[in-house]
Amino acid sequence: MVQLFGVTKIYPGGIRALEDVSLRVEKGEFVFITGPSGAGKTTLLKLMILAERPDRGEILIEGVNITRLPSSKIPHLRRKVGFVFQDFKLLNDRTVFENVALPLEVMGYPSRKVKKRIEQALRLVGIEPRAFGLYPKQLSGGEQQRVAIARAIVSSPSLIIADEPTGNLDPQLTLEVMDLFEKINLAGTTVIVATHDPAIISRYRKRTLHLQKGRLVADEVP
Amino acid sequence: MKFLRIHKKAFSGPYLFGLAIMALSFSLYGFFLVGLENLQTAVQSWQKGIKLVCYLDPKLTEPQRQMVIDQLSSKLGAKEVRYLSPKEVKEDLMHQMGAFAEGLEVVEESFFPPSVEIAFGSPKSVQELESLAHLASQLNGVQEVLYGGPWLKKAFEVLNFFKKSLWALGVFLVGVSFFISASTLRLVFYQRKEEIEILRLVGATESFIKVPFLLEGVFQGLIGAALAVCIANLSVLYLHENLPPWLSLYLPQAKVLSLKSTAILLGLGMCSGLLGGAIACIGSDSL
Repeated sequence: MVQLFGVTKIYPGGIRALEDVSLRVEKGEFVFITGPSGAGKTTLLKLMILAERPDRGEILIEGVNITRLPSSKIPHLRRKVGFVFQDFKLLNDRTVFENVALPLEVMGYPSRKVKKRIEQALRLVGIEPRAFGLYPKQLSGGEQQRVAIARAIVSSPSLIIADEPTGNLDPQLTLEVMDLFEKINLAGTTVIVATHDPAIISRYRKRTLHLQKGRLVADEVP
Repeated sequence: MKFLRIHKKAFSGPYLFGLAIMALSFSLYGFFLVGLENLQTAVQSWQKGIKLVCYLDPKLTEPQRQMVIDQLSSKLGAKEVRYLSPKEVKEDLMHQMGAFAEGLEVVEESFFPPSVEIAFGSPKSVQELESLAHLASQLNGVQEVLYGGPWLKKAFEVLNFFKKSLWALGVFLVGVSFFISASTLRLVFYQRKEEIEILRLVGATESFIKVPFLLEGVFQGLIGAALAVCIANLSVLYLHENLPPWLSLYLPQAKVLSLKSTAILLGLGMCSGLLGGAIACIGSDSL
């Protein structure tokens, strides 16, 4: 599903965010990426959707080498990947329904034609129909993250990438959100979650990649 | 058609500020355009009514005078020939001078030479008037020929100057509007940085993101130019109400911007907005 070969990313000023990272994530796997702040977790995820380009190495997504993918093709890559952020990244001037419709809208589907699909995604993440017309600011943090997850899964991507998705949530909501990712994974979607929370890692017992100072230092399979 | 959407937050502060500045700069162009059109109308109405005035020798006998009038009528292709006796010349002059004519009352009628006013069926160019005046002055019994030629020539020169200035001003104002549009849309881009980032992350193409901005630029230019058309037209109507009476003779009706000029202004507005939007889009890639 995802393969990295000797990937290095150097930011301006010579900051080495990733150094010679190689890994392989199989289709349908659930993988945690962990490590202290500044270890390169976010950079690694950004490289997978070409929000950043590697300075060295190759990245393959579903067998396609994306390293030198032209800019015009990047949107098509991102449509295959659902992304969830710590700060939800919802559009505050759009309703819950419209936010979830966004990936389908950019793919050219009018939201009224895919109404059922959007409602299904929202129900799957536990959002009640009464909240469909609300704006993100009217929801709790946990609900906002659920909406963000619904947006990530609505286009049925084969890969979900989440960067510290529970960073802003309390322990109860953290479990609910992580359960949701597990449920999505059980349905066959590959899930990669970056987290620095050891409690989550020990509770869910999934394959865990440890990053330190930009290097992959451990690959634990429970 | 969802693709051709305008952003929900389109009418934000910087956008409206840019729109106001564009409206003002296009209003300036609108003033020039409408001014030129009114000047053109005034000159044309003056040109249409222009007459050749031939002053006759006062010593001419009645048959001699009639012969000169007949010759003038036939040789110059006149539509209308009107003989004015010295008394009529004095009355005409007093009428034209209005309140300033008091001093003329004491002047003897014999001081004014008899004259012939010649009107033409179609408007004559300055050159045509010159040659007709020359022809009339060659006739025996004609002492002097007057016509508005030199003034008409000056009016045409002013008109041409206006036309050239209009081009230069047009180019300048389109440049200014384009710059304003590009700057305000760039600000709008920054305002929506997060929205653009999210759209990119969910797989929106650059055209999906940028076309609305281009449309907003076009819309900004169009609305700015439309406001300018309204401002220019309202101003000309107001100014016409307050024209001095002597100028009202040549401009009996205020002329608002013609359809062609309105289309030019709106077109320029849209083009500068589109260009501004395009420049703002090019600069947005780094966001």
